[in-house]
Amino acid sequence: MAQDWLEAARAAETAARRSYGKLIAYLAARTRDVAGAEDALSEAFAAALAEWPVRGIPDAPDAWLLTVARRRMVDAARRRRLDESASEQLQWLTDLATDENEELVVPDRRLGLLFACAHPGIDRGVRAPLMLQVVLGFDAATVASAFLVAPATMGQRLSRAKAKIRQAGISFEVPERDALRERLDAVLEAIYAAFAEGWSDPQGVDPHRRNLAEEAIWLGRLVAALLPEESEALGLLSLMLHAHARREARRGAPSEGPGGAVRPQQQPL
Amino acid sequence: MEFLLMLYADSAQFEKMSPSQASEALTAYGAYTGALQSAGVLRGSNRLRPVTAATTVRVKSGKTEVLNGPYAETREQLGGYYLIDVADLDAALAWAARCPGASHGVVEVRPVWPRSEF
Repeated sequence: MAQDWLEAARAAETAARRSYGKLIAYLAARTRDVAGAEDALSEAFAAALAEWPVRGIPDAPDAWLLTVARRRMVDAARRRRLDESASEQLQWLTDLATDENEELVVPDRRLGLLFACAHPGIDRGVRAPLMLQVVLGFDAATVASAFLVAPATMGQRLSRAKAKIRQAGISFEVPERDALRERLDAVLEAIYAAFAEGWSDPQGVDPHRRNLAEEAIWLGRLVAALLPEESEALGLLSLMLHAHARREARRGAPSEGPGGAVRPQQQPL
Repeated sequence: MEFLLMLYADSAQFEKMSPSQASEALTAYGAYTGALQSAGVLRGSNRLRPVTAATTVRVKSGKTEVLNGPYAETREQLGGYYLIDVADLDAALAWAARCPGASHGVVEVRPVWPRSEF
């Protein structure tokens, strides 16, 4: 039983890591309600932890989580909006809830989510933290310590940014060709900001910063894979990989001083 | 979704315009309004008289105070608005950038708060 539970927990965690952003992007794309999607998805993960050990891990964990999260969103929308003008949104959510059987593959809208996070209408300083939270599922406290900000402050900034996305009508669409270049720069800049935060902990010993550089590389890979024609995206990815490959050499043991040991030169006599 | 494009500009600039410049500006606004109409996104629009024509009202402990002038004295003042209905912020921003007001002042884009979400 304990073994089953551990296995289910691990499967839920794997599904969470691998598809968190994908599920958020899909759930929030129409309503633009990132916070609502996050709440629904966390309830779905909780349900998975309760149910999977008993009934076994489903064949398509993503689809399972998506179905539960959608139901939660429908319930939440019902509770929140009894107004008839909300019926259109409810209709959409219910439609979605019925077509899941045909479609087990969750469409990948993460690129649109990245563009929403780095929209010029979002404060520049919160773009990288926002990406880490909504695309990778980092909690506010982890993001806060990585960016050296008080958790409450970071939480407030993140929720303000999510409210802006929803209320201001920031779209989850990938921009049109002519606007793409400029908007992509903002996305890449935010990814690099996340990478730079991880840079200060090359050995990966700080548990809060751990993996930040790798997560940024993951985001860089994602953008490069989704926009293979964009040389800037490839450029950023190769820069990060290049820097990351040399992380071991950046600092030596403390006794060797900064920059590692400098070998005494052989001075020919 | 509905957005209000609020046009802020220095009205002194308008007053300094020569008649030909002023008519050029009016033509530009006419063309812009026409473009919004033919795209089917225009919900309403008005040009406002300058702040010299503004009167401000406030009721304090049951007593009405009427003051000559605008609420806030700033160089750039609200000079007009367009209410548009478009898909998302990017579409609203694209329309705002095309507005002649964005070239001689600023256009503030604000989403309308839907009644259902009060």
